[in-house]
Parts: sequence; C-alpha cells; structure tokens
Amino acid sequence: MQRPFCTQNSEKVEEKTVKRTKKTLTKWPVIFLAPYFIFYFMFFVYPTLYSFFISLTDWDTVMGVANRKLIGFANYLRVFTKDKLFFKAMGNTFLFMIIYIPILILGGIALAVLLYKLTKTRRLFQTINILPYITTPVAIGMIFSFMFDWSTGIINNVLMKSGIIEEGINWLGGEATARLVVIFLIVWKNLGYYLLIYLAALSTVPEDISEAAMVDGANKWQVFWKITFPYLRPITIFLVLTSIISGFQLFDEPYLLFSNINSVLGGPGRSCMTAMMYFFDQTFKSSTKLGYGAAVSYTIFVIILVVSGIVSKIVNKKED
Amino acid sequence: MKNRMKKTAAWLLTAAMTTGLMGGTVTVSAAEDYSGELPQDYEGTLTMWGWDDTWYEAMTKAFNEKYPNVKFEYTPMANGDTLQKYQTAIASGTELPDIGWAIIDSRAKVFELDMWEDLSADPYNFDINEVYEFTHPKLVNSKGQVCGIENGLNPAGLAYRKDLAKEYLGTDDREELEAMFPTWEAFIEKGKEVYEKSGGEIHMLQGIADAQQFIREQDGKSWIEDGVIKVTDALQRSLELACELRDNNVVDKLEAWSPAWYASFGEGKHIFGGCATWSIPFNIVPNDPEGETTGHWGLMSAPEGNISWGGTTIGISKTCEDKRLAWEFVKFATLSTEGAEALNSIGFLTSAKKPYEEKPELKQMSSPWFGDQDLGAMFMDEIIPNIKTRPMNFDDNVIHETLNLITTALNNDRDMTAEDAIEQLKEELEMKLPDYTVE
Repeated sequence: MQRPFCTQNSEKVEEKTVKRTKKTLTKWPVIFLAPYFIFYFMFFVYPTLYSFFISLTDWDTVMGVANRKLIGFANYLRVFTKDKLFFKAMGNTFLFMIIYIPILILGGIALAVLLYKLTKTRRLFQTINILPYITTPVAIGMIFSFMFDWSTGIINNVLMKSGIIEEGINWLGGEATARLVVIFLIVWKNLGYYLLIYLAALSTVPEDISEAAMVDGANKWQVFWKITFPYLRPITIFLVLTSIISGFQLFDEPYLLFSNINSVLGGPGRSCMTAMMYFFDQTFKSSTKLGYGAAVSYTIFVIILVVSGIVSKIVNKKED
Repeated sequence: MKNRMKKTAAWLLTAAMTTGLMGGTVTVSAAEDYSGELPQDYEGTLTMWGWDDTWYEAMTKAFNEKYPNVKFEYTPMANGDTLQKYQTAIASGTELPDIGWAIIDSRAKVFELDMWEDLSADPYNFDINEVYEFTHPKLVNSKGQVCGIENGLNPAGLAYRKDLAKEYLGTDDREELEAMFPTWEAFIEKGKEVYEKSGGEIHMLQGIADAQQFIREQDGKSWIEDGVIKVTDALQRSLELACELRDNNVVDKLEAWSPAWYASFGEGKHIFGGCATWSIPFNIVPNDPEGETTGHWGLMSAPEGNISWGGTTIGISKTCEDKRLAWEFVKFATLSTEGAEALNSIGFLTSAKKPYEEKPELKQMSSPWFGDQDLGAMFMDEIIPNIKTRPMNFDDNVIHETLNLITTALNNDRDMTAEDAIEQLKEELEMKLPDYTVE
C-alpha cells in the first residue's frame, strides 16, 4: 500500500516540476524576447505599415492631417505615368551603381590580395584605406566641393600647374564631370570597407590547397582564379547584394556636394539626383505632399526588393 | 463640530470662487492687454529655431535689458531646412518653437502651414501699415493672414568699385553712373567696352546669377497666376538678357555663393555686385580687407529698378504657450525703437516706420568700406521707393530652383541660346509641377 502512495506522490511531484519547468520555459523566453519584438514593431513594422497607409492618401502638410482622405493607388499611378523626374532619378541611381559596384568589388579584391601577404606595413595600409569610410559624409561632401571647385579647387590647380590642362575644368558644372566626381567620391569613401571584408575572407582560404596546386605546377594567376576566387564567392555575393541595397539609398554624398545656396537639387541638369534625393525633395524640401512622398518611397522599396531578388536568383543559379 | 465643518466648507467655496474669478479675470485681461507692455519683472521662456545668431544675440540681449527674467531657448537650424523642420514637427505632433522664423526662399509654403497666429487679428491687432509697404506682399499668406514681420529691411541696389568705375566708365559719381545705366541694354553695351578695354580682365558682374537676381525680381510680376506659370510673360526677358550678358562677356563665369564668388569681392575684377543691407557685413567686409582703409565702394540704384533681396520674418506659432510674451518679443524686435537700435548696432535697418519718426538718426548707416556715403539715406530714400515687390506664390521655391538649374546650364554651355533655355525651363517646370499649365 505504501508503494502506490509513493508512486502517486512522486508522480505528483514530477507533474509539478514539469508544470513549473513549462511555466518557467514559457515565461522567460517571452520576457527576454519581448523588448526586441516591441521595438521591432514600434520602429519597423508600424512605420512600414503606416507609411503604406499614408501613400494611399492625399496628405499634404498644408491641408493638415484632419483633411487627408484615402485616394487608393492614385499616387502610385502618378509615379508611374506622370512623373518623369522619378524615372530620371532612378536612371541616375542605376547608372551610378553599374559603374561603382564593379570598381569597388574588383578594387577591393585587388587591394586585399596585394595587402594580404604584407607583414609589416599591412596594418598601416589597412588604416589608411579605412579612414575615408569612417569620416562623416558631411565633411566629405564639403571637402570634395572645395577640391573640385572650378576656379579655386586644388584639383584644377594641380592639373594646370602640371600642364595637363590649360583652363580649369568645371567639374561640378557639367553633367558628365559631376557624375564622375560623385562616382570617384563613392569609390574613395567605400573602398576601405570592401578591402577589410576581403582581407577577412582571404584568411578563410586554406593555404595547403594553394600550396599543393603550386607544387603541381599552377602559377599564381591560376591559383587565384581557380582556388582563391571561388572561396571569396559567398563574400562577393554578400557585398554585391548589400551594395545594390545601399546604392538605391544613395543620398548623402551627392546631396552634400551640391548644397550651396544657389545649387540645384542633383547638380547640373539633375544628373546626380538619386532616387532617395528625389523622395526627400518631393516630401520635405520643395513640396509638402507627404502622401505622394510615401508613394515614391514605397515604389523605391519595391524596386529594391525586385532587383535584389533578381540578382540573388542569378547569383544562386550560377552557384548551383 | 458641524458648524466648524460648515464654516470650513464656506471658506473653501469662497476661496475657490475667488480664485476662479481671478483666474477668469487674468485670462480676460491677458486676452485684451496685448497692446500694452508687460511688467518688467515678467517671467517666462521663449523657444526659437533660427540661423542668424548675430541677430538673435543682439535682440535677446536688448530684450533682456528690459525684461531680465525672460529666458530664451535657441536651436540653430539651417535656413534651407525651415520647411522640412516645421513640416515634420507638425506631422509628428512634436513641439514647434514659440517664435517661428521664415526665410524668403520657402516662405510662401511655410506661411501656408497651419502653425501661425494671424498677427493682424485679435488679440495682436498688428496694423501692416506700421511697416514699409514694399514688405507687405511678403508678410501674408494666401488667406491674407499676417504670419510674420520682417526682422530687418532688405532693399538691394548695386555696389560698385569706385576705382574701377573711374578707370573704365570715366566716373565714380553715383548719379552719373545711374544716368549711364537706365536699362540693362545700356549696361550690356558699356560692359562690352569695359571687357575690351581691360583686355578681358574686367567684367561688370561676377556671374549670370548676379544679374538674374535683379532682372527676375524688379518688374514685380507674379510668376504664377490662376494655375498658370507665366514663363513667357514673367521670365522670358530675364533669360534673353542672361544670354546677352554672357555672350558679350559682360558677366564673369562665377557661380553665386561659391568660394570664388565670395573671394571676388576683394579681387577688383568686377565693377558691380548686388548689394542688399546684409551684403555689406556678409559679402564685402570679410572678403575685402583693403576696402576698410580705401573706402573704394559705392552704392547706387540698379538699371531698371531695385529689389527686395532675402529676408526673414518672425511670427508666433499656434502652439506657443505664452503668446502674450511672444508678441511682446515680436513687437520689441520688429516695431519698437529699442529693437531698431539693437538692429542698428549690428548694421541693419528696421522695417517699421515709427522708430525712424521717433529717432531719425536710426536711418543713418555707414561703413568704412563705402567711405563717407550715407548708406542709410541711400537705402531708405533712393532704393526703397524704387522697389516693386513680386507677390508670393505657393510654388515659387520650385520655380526659383528650376531657374537656378537653367542659369547653371547657361553658364556652362555657351552654345545654349535663350530659346533653348526657355524650352528647357518649360520642360523642367512641366516635370516638377505637373498640376500647372506652363505658358
């Protein structure tokens, strides 16, 4: 008679322990995860959904929030059918990305390979290259606008004194030259970041395989293309995708380059106006149409999503 | 015990009613008393977002001499960000400054925001005729409400280098020079001669934008009327003249507000330069140190008339908690003689008429850079009567920005004709403002 009692008792104790464990398990993960989800909802989910709602309204700050009304997809219709400047801004953004992303990827790999084998001066070169990346964009924009000034800029002075040109080039006044300056600025600023990532990736390439290949008669070029480069592939995919996403968000550098009092948004002929600059201008700078601005931003968001999806699919297909 | 309780209750009730009545009285008197002055020991705090630190410091210092217990909280803001900052504060429901500033560039839009107290209505009852007439169109929104008062006068004429004028134009006398340039065509003719005579060294102005600033503004024509942008009527001539000025080398290639443009004030390669009241401390004084001893600048009226150039208004936001104090400050800074004196101490002129009647010496304004010329008399008696102010329109800032785009293009592409410029302007405006008809 004792035994069943004991069993019953121990079963009860076990049940209690399980219940307590269950309770403990259900309570603590929630407590620890809650802040993340609360902040995620507050600062990402809610603003994302709310800005989509705004994009379906005719909200204009002048008319006030009380008078805004739902107008369906009229703002989106206008973006796609009437707004030529939006397409110009998207075109500029694509053009910048097509030029500077390959330069950054190839430049980053080349620099990393050159620096990887250095023992004494590697850290020095690494630091020098990363400095522009950690410099604030405002300072960079201002410095570049002074450097490339038509009459007082150091670039024209050096070129003229060295006899390469006779008269100063209006770098920031011409459409093509202004684009060149923007691309140069982006490459100069970001190359250090690509270098760092590739240096880290190079350390994951097993050296014994390269050494074995060398023993088998492969030259350095063959080792790089057949062994090192395939190992860098996942990092390259990551960098290409993140570059595309950040490329669509390009704003600070071209905006600050043309931020004089009389400067035009996007520089001469709006040749450097990017999608984000156009969104900012439509929403806050020259207009008060918050609803339309939200539609422009959502359109950019969808384009980023589609382009990133396509690029990721192409890259993954090749990998398969 | 019961009686005691009754007594206490009666006292409390009486106290409550008295307080209520007093409170009511305070509110009523506060609403009616905006014309008078505040007691000197009045305490309060006013917030401001702004960009002119010199003005802010001079004016708040003078105000604090009268009202030492008033505190100010100042947040620096770039003037180009005014519209964005106010918009985001309204949209997100965050606090607006008690005293709102509005720069001329975006003022038409900023004044349409639902954030301004109408200063011409109760309890402020500001009479717009207290300030100079040429500022009136720039103080009101489309509903006719006065949203702010200019914090200084901004008339502009042409500054000229006396030494260069004597050498290349044969005289440095203001009146003779004004007679020499009744029109821009006459200015171009003479400019051609100067360029040739100097062997391509000397230009009349620094760049196209410097001439454009005057040509666009001086006829007082509105850029937009009934949903139509009047390109041909209001802007065509300015672009045609811009091409003539450029093709005949009357103007140099400098872009306005660039480092080279600022430096040009001290280089002695340009005879003329646009000159508003603020141009002297901001453009000429810091860039031409030699001018202080030589006094080689003069001020004259521009060909075909003068303009109102720039300017900032101060007004009261609807969310301001102490509107009585805010109005006292606005009145002090823009309408009072004490405010005008503070303004004079930093080299500016008030836009109110009364201070000049009370103290005629407030009209005086001089600068060693302009020798013994009475700049105050020149601005007040010669330049201001010759100003036609263009009415403000909601999308003026977009048109202005587009005109800058065309000016840059004209400056960079010497083959671009006036017809090309007008076509490009129309095309750009149709893209940026698709809801308007471009004529």
